Amino acid sequence: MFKTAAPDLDEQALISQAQSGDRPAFSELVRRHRQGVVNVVYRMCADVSLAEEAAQEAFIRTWQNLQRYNPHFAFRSWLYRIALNVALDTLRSEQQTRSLADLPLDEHPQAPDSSDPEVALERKERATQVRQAVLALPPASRAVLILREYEGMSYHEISTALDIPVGTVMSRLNYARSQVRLALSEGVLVV
Amino acid sequence: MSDHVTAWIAAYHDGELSGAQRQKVAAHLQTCSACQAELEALQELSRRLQEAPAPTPRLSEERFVSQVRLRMGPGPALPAWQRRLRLGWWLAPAGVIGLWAFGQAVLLISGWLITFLPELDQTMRLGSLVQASAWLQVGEGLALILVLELGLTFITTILLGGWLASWWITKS
Repeated sequence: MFKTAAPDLDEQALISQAQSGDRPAFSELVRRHRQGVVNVVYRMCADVSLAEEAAQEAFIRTWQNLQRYNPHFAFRSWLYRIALNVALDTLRSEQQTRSLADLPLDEHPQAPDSSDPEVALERKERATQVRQAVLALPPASRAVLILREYEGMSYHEISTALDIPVGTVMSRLNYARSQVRLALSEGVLVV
Repeated sequence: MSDHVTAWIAAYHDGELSGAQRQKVAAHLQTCSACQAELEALQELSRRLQEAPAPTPRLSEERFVSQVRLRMGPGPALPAWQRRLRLGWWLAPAGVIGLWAFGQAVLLISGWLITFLPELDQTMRLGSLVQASAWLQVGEGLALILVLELGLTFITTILLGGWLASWWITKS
């Protein structure tokens, strides 16, 4: 019923080389997945510097545990699992209990440009509203939503990344979407 | 109402359905405004979520990669069982040579006993190795020892050659 992803043969060769200790091969894997890992961690913790630091830590853990990677699963799923674990560790260790309302508007890193200041401000506010609605979700549901909506991962890949059944992926995704819809429709920040 | 495909609309929206199930949902959406509205709401939500774009990296790609490389340390750590297996693999030639040396020593001592201690009685002279073949004369005993030595050397050579070949294949 559900589709599954085919493995990337070129990437598999890089992984095999990296598993035997080839640093340039692993560096190439880092280049390929850097943006995705940083994005995932950023959307989990909402801080670019923290996300880049955590993404680096995720790649270090990946390197150290590369022999445990099972090539039957997508490398990206396995990598994102590590990245999400690092993100959760970072959130816990940093005690990021600051209120969502404390997030400054200008912290938004890449608001769409507009020559009209009013339009630009409105876009920025909408982006912040979306970001805060996502951040208000419980981490488990947030992770599923991020992997599906921003990383475009299939249910099967998400299931592998989070080590949960596909049914749980669907239920968490439905919950996350309904909560975000509710928050956005109310136009009020859920803190 | 029972024909609604509410449970499958999200999977349809996410491109997760295939074959008959997808066609069934698509056909239903043509005629059901409620399910169509639900699908449009999901599409709108996906559009809305994209209004919060990805962050602009603060570190350049090269700087990010070089920082990771600096922190990488030694090669990927092997699981314990693989470490034991690898250690066993590297010790295997030493084990084979050790067994060969032991076998040679036993055969050498047996040959020496057969040749130089003819006055000992049959049991002591030949030891347990040849006890079952006590009927053999000294010459026959030495010939047997020679055959055993050659056989032991041949088997050892085959084992070491196989190990070297697999090492070379793995390396290349």
